Amino acid sequence: MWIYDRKLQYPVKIKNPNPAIAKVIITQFGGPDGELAASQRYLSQRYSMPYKEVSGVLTDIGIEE
Amino acid sequence: MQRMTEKDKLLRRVQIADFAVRDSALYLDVYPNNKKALAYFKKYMMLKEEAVKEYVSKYGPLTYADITSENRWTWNDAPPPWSVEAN
Repeated sequence: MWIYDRKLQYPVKIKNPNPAIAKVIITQFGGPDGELAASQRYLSQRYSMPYKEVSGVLTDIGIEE
Repeated sequence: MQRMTEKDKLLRRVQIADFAVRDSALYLDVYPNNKKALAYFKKYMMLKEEAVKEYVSKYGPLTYADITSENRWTWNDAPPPWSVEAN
C-alpha cells in the first residue's frame, strides 16, 4: 500500500530545455533495462524472496525507483 | 537565477530531510542493528516532521494525513509537484 507524498524528491528547474537529453533520460527511465521496468521487477519479485531483509530492500528500492 | 521564495525554502527542507530518511532506511534494511544509522534515521525523521509541519501549515497538504479542512477537499489545490509552477 502506498502513501503519496505530494512533492518531488528533488526540485527540478529546467532553464534550457534540451530534447536530445530529454530523449536519453526518458529512455533510461522507460526504455529497455530502464528504471520503470526494474521497479516492477523488484515489487513483484519481493514476494518470493525468502529473506525478509532482502524483501525489505526490494520493497524500498522498488518504491524509490 | 530566481531567488527562492519562503515556500521553496520550506519545501527544500522537507525534501532534504525526507531524502536522508529514505536513504538511511535503505541502509538499515541491510544493517538493522547499526546504532549510528538508527540514530541518524531518528534525527532526520524528527527534522522531517518539523519541516513538514511548517510547510503544511502555510502551503497545504503533502499527504492525506495533512488535510484538515472539513469544508472542501484541498488535496488538488496546489499545482502538481511535477509542474513548472511548483518548481
